[in-house]
Amino acid sequence: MRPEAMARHQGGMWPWLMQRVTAVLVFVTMAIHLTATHLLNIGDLSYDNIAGRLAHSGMALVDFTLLAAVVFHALNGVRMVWLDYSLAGSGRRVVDVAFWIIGVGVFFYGAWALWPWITG
Amino acid sequence: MPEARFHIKRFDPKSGVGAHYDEFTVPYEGSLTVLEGLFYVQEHFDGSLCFRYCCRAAVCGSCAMYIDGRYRLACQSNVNHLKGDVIVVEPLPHMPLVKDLVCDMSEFFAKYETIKPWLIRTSQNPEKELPQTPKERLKLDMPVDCILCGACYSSCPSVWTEGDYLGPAALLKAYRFEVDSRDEARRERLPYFDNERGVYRCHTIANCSEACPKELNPTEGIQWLKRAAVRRRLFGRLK
Amino acid sequence: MIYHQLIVVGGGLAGLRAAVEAKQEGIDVAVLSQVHPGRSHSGAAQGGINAALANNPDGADDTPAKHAFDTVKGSDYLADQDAAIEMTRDAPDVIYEMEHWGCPFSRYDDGRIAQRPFGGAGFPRTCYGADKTGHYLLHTLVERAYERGIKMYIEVFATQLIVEDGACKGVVAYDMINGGFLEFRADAVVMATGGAGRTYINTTNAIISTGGGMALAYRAGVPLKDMEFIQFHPTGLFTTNILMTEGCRGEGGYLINDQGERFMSKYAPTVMELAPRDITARAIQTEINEGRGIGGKQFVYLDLRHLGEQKIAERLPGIRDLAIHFEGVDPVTEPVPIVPSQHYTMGGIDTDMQGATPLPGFYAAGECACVSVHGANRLGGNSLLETIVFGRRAGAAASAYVKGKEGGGAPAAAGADPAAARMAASVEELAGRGTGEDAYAIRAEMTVTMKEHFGIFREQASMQAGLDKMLALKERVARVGLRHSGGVFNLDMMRTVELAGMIDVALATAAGALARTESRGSHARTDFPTRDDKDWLKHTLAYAGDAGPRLEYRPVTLGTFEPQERKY
Repeated sequence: MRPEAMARHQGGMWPWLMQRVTAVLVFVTMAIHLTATHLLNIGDLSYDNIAGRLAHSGMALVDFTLLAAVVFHALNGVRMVWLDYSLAGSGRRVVDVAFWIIGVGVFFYGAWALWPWITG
Repeated sequence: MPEARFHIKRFDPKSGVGAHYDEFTVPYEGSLTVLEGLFYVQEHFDGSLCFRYCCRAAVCGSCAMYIDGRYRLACQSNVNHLKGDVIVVEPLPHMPLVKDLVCDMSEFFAKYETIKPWLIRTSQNPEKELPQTPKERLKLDMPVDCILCGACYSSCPSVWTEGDYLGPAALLKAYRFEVDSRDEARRERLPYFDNERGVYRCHTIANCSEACPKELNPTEGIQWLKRAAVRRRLFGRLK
Repeated sequence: MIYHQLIVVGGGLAGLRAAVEAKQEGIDVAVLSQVHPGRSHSGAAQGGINAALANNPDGADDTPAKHAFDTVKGSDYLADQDAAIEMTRDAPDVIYEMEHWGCPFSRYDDGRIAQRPFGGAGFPRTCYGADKTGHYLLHTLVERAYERGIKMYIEVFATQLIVEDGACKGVVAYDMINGGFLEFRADAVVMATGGAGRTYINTTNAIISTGGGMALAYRAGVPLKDMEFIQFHPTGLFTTNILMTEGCRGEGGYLINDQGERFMSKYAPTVMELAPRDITARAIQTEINEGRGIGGKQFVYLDLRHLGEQKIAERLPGIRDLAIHFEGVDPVTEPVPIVPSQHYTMGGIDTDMQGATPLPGFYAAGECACVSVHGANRLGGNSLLETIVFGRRAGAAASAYVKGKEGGGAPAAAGADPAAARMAASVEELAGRGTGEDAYAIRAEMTVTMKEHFGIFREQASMQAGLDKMLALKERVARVGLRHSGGVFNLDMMRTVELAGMIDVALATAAGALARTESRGSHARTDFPTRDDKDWLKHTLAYAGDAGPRLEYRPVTLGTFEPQERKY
């Protein structure tokens, strides 16, 4: 095996492992989110009710976790597809950084939308 | 006398002619394997046809080809069991070609060599055998049957897109040793498969298990390696 | 020109073991192989490898000496007894070594290597890995060769020995992947190219088991020893002759004729199906010849049904696969049609116990060599043992030769490769002839002739006719032309070059068989049905002559076991 190929592809466990961890997180938090939104509060679609639910600290935790997990899971998934087409060397770093910037940006955008409810 | 019609993919890099198919009709009595058919063609119609062969009993792994749209060993494929009027015989797809049905296996074996495909021992061997219970031995049953024919490697989409990916056969071999109770590689072999051109490039497509003419399951072995790698890196467990 | 101190031709068990040994001795060694070493015919061995480990509860009293006795008795006293004693004494060590290198043997509950009964053995001493022992051993050695960093030239087809100043100096070989001939220079050569089963049409052997190494040695003036002794395995699949291991019977399988009887009771009442291969093969052939083949046809049944699906899955999974894929019969529910099939060449290149041949710098090991430990009939499980024991010894002896040699090292003259150029020119000449004789028709006639005239039962008039046919074929093969020249992976050229060698090797078998007026082991003559120790307790040596082989004889090394009548 070419040594440069070895060096180029070190690591890989964390993205793989985190993809599984976030999958579980998305599954659990999405289930709670949907249950809380559509089953427990069905038929009562008032502003106060929704605001109250979003302000609840437990729900906030669930929503932030879901947001972080889903953003990571989605972008990491796209990145893995991208990597299958062999992005070598510096190009690959650029992609990694770009995905991190997009990810962090999307997370903060989501957080910005959720924040007013929590702070009241 | 029944006849078998073969469409054989031909390619000679030095001829300047592109890949094409030649048709040959081979008479036979009783049964005929594709390998026997190829020999008949080579002996009677076209001396320049080339293909790999050795044991003709499905144990050496020489004659893996793409026959009638499936990965098969030519020696194990009886024309009576193949459907359709014409039997299409092609080399293993997605592999560099030497000529006709012979593909270049050098990269395949280079990758096999990379994962240190041998039993690693650090402690002193006893005078007699290293004890191994039937239960421990049972874990080796699947991976030790690999004949290195290359069908899985040729069938793997991750190999197609990433030239550096080790591929199912090499990783199955790594699994064969990692799962062996006698192997004492603690960190020697780990870095060679626990990386992005190793186990994490496998997306559990399972083409390899579908393609394997020995009906082995490389995907299962690769999944085991992923779990073992995480256990070892995160929890420091050595085996 | 490519130079290594030692060249090993053949990447099967014997060749790889020799290379590993030489590498350990610090020798620059390279392996040349026609196929990737992992594809060698050693991998087709199934049943197991013998060693007196005494692991089996029924074999607790087993010793190497008893193993040696069984080997010598099985050989019909033609084996050299000192060689048999040394091989069986080395046996446990080489098994443990292979195990330490990772060979996945089957196990007993206490973790020791499992052993099964085999034909002609007084104790169950055949170590096995299911019914894929050869495959497991071969891959273990391939892996070890990679670990040791042994240089391998893969898909390189040896066509000629280079002999200069009375010593072997290398080989010329066809580079199958890149085309053209290469000149490999070395201070010593180990030949380990396997048997010549393909000289028979009804063989269990791989298509590359053509006796190529034997032919190269023979033409270089090295004698072939005991070539008339050809083993017929009792159980080859009826339609393809693919091997059904002796382990089938070791695990309790029956041989059944048309009347549904276990006919072995007539031929070997004590051990039944576990008689040695020569006796069992003759028994089956006798049943067939006397019309008791199944439905009067040319086969009998190997019945495994009573073993049950679980035991078959555990001990004989490969057999089940082969029977299903190649015969369309599932041994769990149906008996398997089998017929005796050519299986092993007891004879081969004349070597001593260290693998050395009469030609300095030239060694041989494995099936292509004849030490002799198998004599007139090899016991099942002894061939894998021979490859490893004598592969190791040949590697060590060749290394010692290389180290002790004066004036070794790479030849100074760079540039032209005279031997390779001569080989290329002779192939050009073949190609220039146009079609001429049809090499494949000659090959077909040869394989049928060997089966018909030098098969399980032999007789003067038939063998004389067969020898005449073979001599005629030898004349015809000289007029063969090539259909395809040059290029890469030229099967037409390889198979034509190989054919001439096969005929030479087959002629050595034919001439030796005709001359030996007795019955011994696998050499069963209807006109001389008994063993003749007074005149024939000796090895045949066949030298290449202008008009076929010239025969000489050498006495057998006795000393420990007094020859006695062979009964089972």
